[in-house]
Amino acid sequence: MTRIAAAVANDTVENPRAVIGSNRAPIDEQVVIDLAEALVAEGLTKRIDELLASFSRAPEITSPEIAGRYAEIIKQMVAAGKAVEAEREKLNRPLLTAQRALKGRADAITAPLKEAELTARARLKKFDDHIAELERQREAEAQRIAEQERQRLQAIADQEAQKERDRLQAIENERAAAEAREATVVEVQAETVEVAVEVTTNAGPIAQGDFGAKVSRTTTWKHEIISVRQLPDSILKHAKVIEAIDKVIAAQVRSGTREMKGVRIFAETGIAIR
Amino acid sequence: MTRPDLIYAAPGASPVTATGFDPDAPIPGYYRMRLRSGGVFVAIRIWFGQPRDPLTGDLMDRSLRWQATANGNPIDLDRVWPQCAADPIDEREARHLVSLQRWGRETGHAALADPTRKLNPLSTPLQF
Repeated sequence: MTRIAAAVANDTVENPRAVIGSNRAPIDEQVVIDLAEALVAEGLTKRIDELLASFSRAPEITSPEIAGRYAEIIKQMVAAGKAVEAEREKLNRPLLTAQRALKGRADAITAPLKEAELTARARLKKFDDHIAELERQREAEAQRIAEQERQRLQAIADQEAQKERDRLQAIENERAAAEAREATVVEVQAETVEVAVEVTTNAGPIAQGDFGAKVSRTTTWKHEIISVRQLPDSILKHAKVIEAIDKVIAAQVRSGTREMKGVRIFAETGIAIR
Repeated sequence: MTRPDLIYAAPGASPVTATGFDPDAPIPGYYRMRLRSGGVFVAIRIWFGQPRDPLTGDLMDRSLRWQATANGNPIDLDRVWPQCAADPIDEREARHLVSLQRWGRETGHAALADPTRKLNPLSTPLQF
């Protein structure tokens, strides 16, 4: 007993496919074979061959009788096509059901995982918002300090300019007195002081795990249409926009609209086989 | 105050001329109809005359009456009139429909041989 079990175990280890059902054809090949067999069994393969052969013998339409025969063969072709589709659907249904069941099971397993992931992401976002708020406060503080420094330096520059103006004015006054003329007013502009704000921005990741996972801030640009009429032609005449407009207009024309500004509505005749 | 010219209570013909036919007064001739939805067309013949013996086909010495046949087989007039009146045909077309049924009987196409069966487009005869 033990020996048999060991032998089975060894076979499976040597060849993982040596299990029950392993001699079946792969499912993608099997369904094609099944379809071909079903079509032969139902006589559809023969019927399609006959229809094609019959159509190859069809003459040009020169009378209402021949047109009627054409209508009949079209009906037969459509019926044959639908029958093939029905056979395909019959084989496809279990596969679709299996696919859905598989996905349902996998989703059921991963649903709590996804929920936990969303919670974790929300917490990280909250932390990132906190960091962003701190950065904003730090930047405001840096700007306030820079402004204070600028005002201090500007006051010094103003004082120096005033001293220079007084010195030059005294020289001008002496010259004017020697030359017996009225002294001109000396103008000395104080230098405008600018102080650069030094803000240290953290360009790297916000946080990093021990195994390499990183949290970084991303920026995505979003939009909102405020006025359709003001959009540029490159948008309004885009192929996809025209396609969407076409769908809306087609629905209205089907529902009875026969006049529309900027649209030519016309009747087109076709054929229908019943 | 104005009044309409038409006096509904007045005797005489209605101003609206009716078109169509009287369902209670059959019109002799050939017609085309289906005996069931999805079945093959049959030729209906309607006439007023002496009835025939259903077994021998001989004219019987009976009073004249409205009669109908579907592809040559006797059928109750009420079964086909006035439904068939919508699609009148000529005698040539009627003969074609009768021969179509005969051909179906000879070649084993059940739905053509029996107009009360539904046609299956997967088994109807090839056209060319």
